[in-house]
Amino acid sequence: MLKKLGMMTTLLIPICIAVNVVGGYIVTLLKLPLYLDVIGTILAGALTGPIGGALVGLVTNLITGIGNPVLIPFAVVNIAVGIVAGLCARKGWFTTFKMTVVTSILIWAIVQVTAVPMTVILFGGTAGGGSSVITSFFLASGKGIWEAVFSQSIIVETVDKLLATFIVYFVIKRIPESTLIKFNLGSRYVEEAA
Amino acid sequence: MNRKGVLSGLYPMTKLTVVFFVCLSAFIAGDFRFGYFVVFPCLLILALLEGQFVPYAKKLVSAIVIMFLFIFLIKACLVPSETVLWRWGILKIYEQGLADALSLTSIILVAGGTILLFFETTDIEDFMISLQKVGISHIGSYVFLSTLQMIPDFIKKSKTIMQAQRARGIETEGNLLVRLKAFLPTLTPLIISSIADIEDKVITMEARAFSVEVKKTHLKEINMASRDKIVIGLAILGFVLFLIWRFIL
Repeated sequence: MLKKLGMMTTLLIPICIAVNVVGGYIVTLLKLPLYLDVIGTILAGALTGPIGGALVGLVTNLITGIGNPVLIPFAVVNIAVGIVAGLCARKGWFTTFKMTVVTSILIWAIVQVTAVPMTVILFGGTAGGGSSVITSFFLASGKGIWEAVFSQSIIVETVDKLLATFIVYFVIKRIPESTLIKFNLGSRYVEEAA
Repeated sequence: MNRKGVLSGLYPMTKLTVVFFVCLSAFIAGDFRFGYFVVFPCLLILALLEGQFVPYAKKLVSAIVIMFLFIFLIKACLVPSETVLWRWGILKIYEQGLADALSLTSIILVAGGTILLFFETTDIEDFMISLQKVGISHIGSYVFLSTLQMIPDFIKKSKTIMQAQRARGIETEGNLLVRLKAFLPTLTPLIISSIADIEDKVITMEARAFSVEVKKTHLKEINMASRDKIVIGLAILGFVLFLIWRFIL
């Protein structure tokens, strides 16, 4: 599968995975109340299509899973983000601001659809971390488990995923055209500028 | 890896087979005591024998303790079921919820604990070589290994970039919006400079016939020893005995 994608994509994958991890690291350096850990996945999807995006999502969680195996099942969420970003990019939706809004909403929606059932069914409503306090709060106020996790997820993920998508939009704008054109979907961004 | 522990000396695929059978047993067991009182002590003893006890325990604790606290809080106290086991003020513990939480956490403990011990005692390079032997593409292991090298490198670079940006006047402290604005100037140069490097890397690797379709050789050779076959045999035997005990006796 990797052979068909070509060397440019193959070498983009490690970079995007590292961007996923470093995004989370810069967030802690700047003390931001966000995750921003899917930027690389969205970027890979935007430049190379759904397969590249999905691969970045998968390997990111396998690698972070070495230190914390609990994260491995959440690869499904990350893969889904990569696929959605890739499909949107194929349609050329990352080229205009307006369509990036649509893309960001789709990515946000796929995170909700995949992460919430995963958290509830596999981990009984929590995967650890600070946001579980919000889930507990909703449960204590008498909401059901699905409602509570869903509300928590909307509060925590909405700004995060919308912002991640827009960061990718701005990053692509700054990549030189001579480099962009070498990626599978790169021509879409260059034509826009010409 | 020069450590000559029992686990580090085994072939990676052998360990993976054992991990698989142990996790499967935890799913089938349907009893939290299997995870908490059989598998968990065994994992700790193995880590101790390996001389890896402290790093292993640290990683395990940071991965699961907060999560387990929340699972118990949510399942046993916050989701109501029929029988109340214990009550203190507004705090209630439900019987069904407590049982659910125990069985769920024991499965997570077994799966997380075994996988963590696997990676703690396996050299990633060895693991990749053994994956290639079962037919995973060498490109896949290149991606995996180069990512592992790249992450610490990126972290170092991002610190440098942040300092440079601060020097030209970008605020990295202050209110939320100010700090948020500093994110993009830190990440963008990192991404663009590494993407610009890709082409050079492609040329270098193609010059060394990276994507040529031939049988690849390795600098390092690892092979299955007879003790690996014994361990796999014991794992399968143990699993069959476990199934007999669980379903027939």
